[in-house]
Amino acid sequence: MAENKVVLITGTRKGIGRALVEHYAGRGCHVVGCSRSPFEGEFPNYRHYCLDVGDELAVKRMFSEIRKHHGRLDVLINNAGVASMNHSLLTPISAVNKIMGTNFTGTFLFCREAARLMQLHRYGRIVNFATVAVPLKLEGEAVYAASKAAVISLTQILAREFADFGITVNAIGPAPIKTDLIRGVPPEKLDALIERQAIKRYGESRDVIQVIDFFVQPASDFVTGQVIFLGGV
Amino acid sequence: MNDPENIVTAIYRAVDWINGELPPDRQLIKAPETRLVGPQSVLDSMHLVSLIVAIEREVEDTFSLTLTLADERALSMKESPFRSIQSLADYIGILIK
Repeated sequence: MAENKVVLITGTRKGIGRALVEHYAGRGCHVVGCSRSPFEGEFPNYRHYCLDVGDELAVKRMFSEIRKHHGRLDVLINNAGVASMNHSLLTPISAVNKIMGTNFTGTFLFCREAARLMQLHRYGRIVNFATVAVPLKLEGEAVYAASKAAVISLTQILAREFADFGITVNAIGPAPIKTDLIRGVPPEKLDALIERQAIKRYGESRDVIQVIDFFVQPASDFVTGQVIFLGGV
Repeated sequence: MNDPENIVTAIYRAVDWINGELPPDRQLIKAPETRLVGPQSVLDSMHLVSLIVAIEREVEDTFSLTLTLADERALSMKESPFRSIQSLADYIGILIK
């Protein structure tokens, strides 16, 4: 991707989000990121906001600053997400609301505000995060998978709503990657999950970056409403 | 600061922007009575969405506040505030009062 593009990434404090910051800042993009906690370390082209992705007022304020500072937004990567592995019979509503709030409401809010900014220049690339837990229908991940199924529907419909503005909307569905998101999942569950993949290994940040790089290229302007699952699920 | 004249001026800036997106024979006239919806409007649904977003942006820049024009209140009103530039300016005046 060309230098000077303005890239917004959510959930950048660690894991895949941080790897994406390193990748795009290293390529000369102006990267804006956010997470609930401060970002440790510094990158020359990186600016961080501490906020909850479901906090409409804080999110709108951040987008207002991006518009005033950069005048545009080229790429949004909705990486922020939370998971909770639990049987449905033991899942409290507070956990359901938290998961839906971050994974679905946060993704919707960022898509909406990003598209408002992107349509000024009739150009934009949005990448959302799904999961292999949706097609694999994993027991114990009902709420997490449901929140990501909602993200997939959102992605496919926004792709149509935003097409006239020159904005593409796609999603990536990572296989398990060794980050905090799967920290609470028992190893035997993860092994069983990986056995159901065509390629039987954990995903890595570079696998995710490879797919996102494809989606956000200017030349990918005829690719929208698609979901790519990693690992051959 | 938030007098009716400033509100209409902010709307006209948004109209200037949307006119850049419209063909020359479908320009939106900067006048209070200009219709924004219905058969007399030059806007299709996508351009109406873009205009509302542009007006929200101009209001934010002019009055340093964020507002949502197409909310439940606006959509449930007996007479749509999006009928004309004047009716929309009146509605914005109520929102930011």
